[in-house]
Amino acid sequence: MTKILLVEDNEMNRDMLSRRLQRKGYVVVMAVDGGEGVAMAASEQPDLILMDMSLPVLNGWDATRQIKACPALKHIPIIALTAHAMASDREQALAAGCDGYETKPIELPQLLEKIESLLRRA
Amino acid sequence: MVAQVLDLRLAAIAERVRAVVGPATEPISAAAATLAAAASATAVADEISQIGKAARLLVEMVETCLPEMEEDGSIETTCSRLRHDLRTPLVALKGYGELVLEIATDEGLDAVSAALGPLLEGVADVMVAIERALPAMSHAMAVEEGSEGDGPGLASYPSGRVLVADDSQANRDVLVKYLSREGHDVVAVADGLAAVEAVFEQPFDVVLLDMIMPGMNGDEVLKAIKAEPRLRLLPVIMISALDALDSIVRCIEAGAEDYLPKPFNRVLLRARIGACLEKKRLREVELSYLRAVEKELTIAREVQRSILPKAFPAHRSLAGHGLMDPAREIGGDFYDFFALDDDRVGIAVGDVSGKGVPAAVYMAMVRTQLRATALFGLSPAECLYRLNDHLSADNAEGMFVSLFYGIIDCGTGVFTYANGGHNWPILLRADGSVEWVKGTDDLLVGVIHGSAYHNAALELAAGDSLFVYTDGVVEAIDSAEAEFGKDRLAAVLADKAGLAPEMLCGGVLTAVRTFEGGLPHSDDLTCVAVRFLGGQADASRFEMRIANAIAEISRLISAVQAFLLRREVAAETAYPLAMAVEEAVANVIRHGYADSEPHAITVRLACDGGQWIAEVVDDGVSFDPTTRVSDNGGFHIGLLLIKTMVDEIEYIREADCNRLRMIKSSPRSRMPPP
Repeated sequence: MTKILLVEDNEMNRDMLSRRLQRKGYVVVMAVDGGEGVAMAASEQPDLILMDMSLPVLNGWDATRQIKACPALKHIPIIALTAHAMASDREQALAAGCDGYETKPIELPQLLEKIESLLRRA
Repeated sequence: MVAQVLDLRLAAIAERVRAVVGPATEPISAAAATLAAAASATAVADEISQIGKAARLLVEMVETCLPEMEEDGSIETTCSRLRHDLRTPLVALKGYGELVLEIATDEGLDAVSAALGPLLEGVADVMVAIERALPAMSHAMAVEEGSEGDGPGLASYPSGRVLVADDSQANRDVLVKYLSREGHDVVAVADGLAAVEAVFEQPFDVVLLDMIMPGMNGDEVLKAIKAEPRLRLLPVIMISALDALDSIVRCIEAGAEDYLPKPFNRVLLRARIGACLEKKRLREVELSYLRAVEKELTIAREVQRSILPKAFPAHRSLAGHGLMDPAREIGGDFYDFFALDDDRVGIAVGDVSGKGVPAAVYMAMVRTQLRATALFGLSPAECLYRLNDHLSADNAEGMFVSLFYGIIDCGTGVFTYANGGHNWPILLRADGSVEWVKGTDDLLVGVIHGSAYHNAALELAAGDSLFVYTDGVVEAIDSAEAEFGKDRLAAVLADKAGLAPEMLCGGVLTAVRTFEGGLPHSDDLTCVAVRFLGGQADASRFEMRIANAIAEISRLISAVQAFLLRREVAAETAYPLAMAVEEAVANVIRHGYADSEPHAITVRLACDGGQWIAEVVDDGVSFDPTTRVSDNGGFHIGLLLIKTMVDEIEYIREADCNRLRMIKSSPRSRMPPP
């Protein structure tokens, strides 16, 4: 079973996306801020992380940097989720160490394709 | 004060969100209510209640919209934050909506499915409304967009037929709605294959192509369009998420005109479609201009072709041929040949300044005027003089022509010519030697009013050829920009001595084309060749007609001398005889006419036994020199001179003409003086 860690502060969107992913057969664990996201990455050892970028406590970029700095976790692919569709957002996310990038609202088929391709690579 | 102004701006933003986004949320609320009321919805009750929650949140956020200035004090950052917040419930609505649609489709909950279409469309519309109210691109656009969407100050674009290919129903609907509102005629398809079918079957002005579609992706559709010659110029805009920059670059390299990032920004969409249509319109304007130019060129070519003579005048002792290989843009070359009388043929080659239609029209004028003047029987220099005066008198465009005109006397082989700034022709002797027919250093025709032109003459023997051409021959260049040149032309001709005129012209054209190595001429290329086949059957006779102009005398005397020389008449006979002819003709021209009309004077030479007889016939006033020689005064000094040059003169008036015969005995047969 593929386990995905979803880091998202908005309760409604966290619930929505987890439901959609579970329906597609993934096991989904959730964190509500960047700090919790880093902690759960270590404790849950997910196969892939979906990381919202505008998070409280520790934002998505910093959380990504911490995960990617950790030798035990850096192999986990991270897809950045952001509400902005600016080219600079993508560059910032990739610079922080994200392996992929999706804008909200999510196009699910596109996201699933990206998840699968990153899992194949990992 | 500053804070107050800023607050006013924030209030304006809030007002704008309420006015623009508020109405767009209504279909969402309605759809959420329909979903909540669907009795059979237990399987998706949770999700439906979340949809209701998100819809209420959205409405509340819009109604109570009160943006706070961000810490950096920037209106742009504030709007960005607001846009982000407003989109959050939309992200949930879209996600839950799609999830419920999936489940409802699986479970066959038709009532639920039916309500989801309007919900998802509503979400897309609100996204658009948010972009309109709070455009992300720049302030300039926020101002341009205006609250009604189509305020003044927006650039106006042409409308056209647009094909939208996108597998997402919501995207298609949004695009169709936008573009229709802009006045475009929109056709939407849901996959790549349908897009290809549509563009091959119907005319479109622009295609919007989603990158990722089931079956056939956008880049494959793009390839299919660009591979079809008929559709190669059809502009294609790729629709793509921004993170697909690599594939966008690949598509642009493969011929895509532009790309459009998702989610759509209405202003950007409008500008890109508009720019595409504008470019296409300009291309079409350019194309129609090109067609007009092509048509003009065809007219010019037609004029040029129609003024060239169809055939060389038939003559037993002369053969001739002309050809012109036009440049793509008419260069203004022409040639002409025409019979002046039974024995004389006029030959002209000219090159008009400039190109295209003006050159063709000027050329036609030169040709007509030259013929009109030449057919009066005037000498070449006289023709060029008159033509120059006509052309230079009214020449606002500053056009001119380099013109070579000569007259061949088929009886004697004497060629009299004048050269108005044209390339020196070539005299190709029967034995292969080449002589340049040097010019008289006279000016181009049409430049300076009153310019003088001079006659020169040469004699052609049987088998000799004249080759007249334009600079298109000698200035033809090869791929290394080297010129064909005069020496190469002379060498080509030297090899072809004794060949028919067609062979000379054709041979030179072939040599030039080979030299050019397949490059097109930059100028017209014209060759005229004339081959003299030999004089009259009775070579002991000479006859020539000239006009009653002093300028004609030199031409006549050249011919007389050439004839006597060829007949190997001794100088002591030839010289006085020629001088007597000159005096007699000059007398007629100066004093023989009561009017100022052009007249012809005929001169004949014949050998009769031991004596030469020169005869001058004119249609001037009746005048018997034999009875007037003894009169006093300078008027008759010329006659006195004639008397001393020849042995005898006889005069007859017949058929309204004066016929003066001057008889000179050959030295051998001359009687010793008494």
